[in-house]
Amino acid sequence: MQFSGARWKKQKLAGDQRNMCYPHSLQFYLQPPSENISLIEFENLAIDRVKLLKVVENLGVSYVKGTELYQSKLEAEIRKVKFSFRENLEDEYEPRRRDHISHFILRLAYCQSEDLRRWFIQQEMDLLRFRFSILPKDKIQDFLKDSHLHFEAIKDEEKTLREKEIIASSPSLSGTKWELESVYKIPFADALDLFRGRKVYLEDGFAYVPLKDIVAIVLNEFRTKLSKALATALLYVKQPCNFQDIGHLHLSSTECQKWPPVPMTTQNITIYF
Amino acid sequence: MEAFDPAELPELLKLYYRRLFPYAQYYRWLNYGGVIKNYFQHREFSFTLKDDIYIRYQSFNNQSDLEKEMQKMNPYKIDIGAVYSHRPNQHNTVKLGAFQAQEKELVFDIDMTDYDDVRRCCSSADICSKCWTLMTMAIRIIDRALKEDFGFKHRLWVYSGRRGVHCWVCDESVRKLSSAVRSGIVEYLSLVKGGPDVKKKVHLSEKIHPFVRKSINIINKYFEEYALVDQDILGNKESCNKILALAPEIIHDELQQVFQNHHSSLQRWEHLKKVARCLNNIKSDKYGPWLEWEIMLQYCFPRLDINVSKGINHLLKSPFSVHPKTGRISVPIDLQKVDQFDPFTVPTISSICHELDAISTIEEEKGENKAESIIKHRTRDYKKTSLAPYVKVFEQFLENLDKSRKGELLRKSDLQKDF
Repeated sequence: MQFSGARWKKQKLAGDQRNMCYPHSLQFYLQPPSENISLIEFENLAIDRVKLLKVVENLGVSYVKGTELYQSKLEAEIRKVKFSFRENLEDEYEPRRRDHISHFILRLAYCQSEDLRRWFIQQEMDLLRFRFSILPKDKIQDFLKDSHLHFEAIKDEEKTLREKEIIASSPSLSGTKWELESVYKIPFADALDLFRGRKVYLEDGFAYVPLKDIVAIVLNEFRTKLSKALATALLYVKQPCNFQDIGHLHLSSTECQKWPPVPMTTQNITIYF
Repeated sequence: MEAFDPAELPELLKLYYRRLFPYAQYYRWLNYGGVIKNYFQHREFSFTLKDDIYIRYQSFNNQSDLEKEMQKMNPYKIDIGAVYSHRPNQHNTVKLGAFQAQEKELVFDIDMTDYDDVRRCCSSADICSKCWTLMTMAIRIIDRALKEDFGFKHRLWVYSGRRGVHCWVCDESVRKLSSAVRSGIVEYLSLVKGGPDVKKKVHLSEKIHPFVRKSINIINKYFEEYALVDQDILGNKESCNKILALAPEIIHDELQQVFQNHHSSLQRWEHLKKVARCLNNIKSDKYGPWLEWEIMLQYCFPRLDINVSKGINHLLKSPFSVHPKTGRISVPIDLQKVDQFDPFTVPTISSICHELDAISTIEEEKGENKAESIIKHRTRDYKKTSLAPYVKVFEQFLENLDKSRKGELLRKSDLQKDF
């Protein structure tokens, strides 16, 4: 009895810990993964994500981004590779983990040239934009907070107080229902592209930003961070990796063939980022 | 007031730097409470010496070092630059690329020559009481935005000494702002766009941003007296045509009628407004005062030089510096009394030196002990001259900085539970 009790406790802990690793269906990839994975999984994750990003690129060309058709097709593709995109009732750990690790693997590959960097950033941004757009309103606040973005949605009383000013300042609010709009209060310097063109209401050092404009800011933040990260990744890729040297790996898909050969074991690799 | 003769500058400056320049307050400002190590020591100053010799990358160890050097070199002009990563006077010893500008106040320079297309009384370096109102309006509009929209608390406005004003925004967070954000702030504050070849420089959309609305409210307070009386912007055919060029063709005939039927700027403006308000906004089909506002803004709204504000390493004339052509001291402007500020009553270096001489003579006659006098002089000389009220304004500004710093330190120690 005691034995099985202990086992039950262990599993429960594991479940909580796993959920804590990935509290949201999307992320900014701020922390690199730190686990051992098999070479086969490494390769498969990389291939899956490359496939997905290529689909993101093609869909972006064939359909208008953000439309229902675009979104349903993209959703189907993400399902295929079993990456996370939406909060479900099922266990989300595995899809989120796959999403996380695959992103970081691709950083190693796509940091290597200006063209590759640009392509990678563009597709990752479109993917993030999609995921953000289907995030339920009540989850947005938590996600922003956990991503260390100090964006606070203001309460209704504060909103009403500034209704005239915010509506007069934000072009993105024309034609929307004021009552349904979330407005975020952020330090003015975080809303540079908005305030420089007087497209947002400023008061006492804060910008009052409607949700639509927050998305643009969030994406810009993401692009800046990813750009920096790729520049850093380039330094590491050029240096000897901490892989145990037994053989060489050539990855099979055409995109991956652009990668330089990386010495790895055939059993396990430890990824140091 | 004593007439200023530029030839006397070397002698006057000697006296000014020895007995009148407010070193203690100046150091108190730029040291910012000594909270950051070497903040003063890493600050760049530049001096313009006699015969236009310009030297950059001056830096000083402390107040007494600053005093000694200024008295030794007797600069005609002093500029303040950025706080760098290393002592500017040692920048040649630093590894290439490592010597970087790190922080600086956010500064604005508003110059009367930028308004030559809209003022009739003067042009270029000249100013008069009729056009000085442009500076008054500029200070009110920009200061309101810096304070209420951006939340900046420590703003020092200074008369440039000839034809404009400067603003130094000294909040701690502001000194760290990037060049991109500084540019963005100038863009936010800009409404008048286009060079001499552009006739209509202000275009308003249907939605009026609160910044624009509040600026128009300020201009409204001054417009009648400044534009319609002093500048007389509808006073003759030439000036009426200038305004006509800002209006759409369809109302030109109506406006010409107005100009024929009425003869003062005041009356013409009243009727112009009536005609203009019947115009509808092309995009929205709404009728409104946009044209009227566009004219007011073109004639009165401040014009900023973005290059002065955006660069962290840009050097700007120092407060309490002397203007070599006019002899006027760059004095702080009391925001509480901005409407009364008169650049023509700002003390010149000759006048305050003269005042000092007169007082010294009186004190000698009173038979004061020479040694006593010297000590007294060093600490209170400027107080005996017309410079005193301006130093007081500066001290109030420094008090506010101190208060903020104390408040910030308390807040930080509270957070760390440091009692």
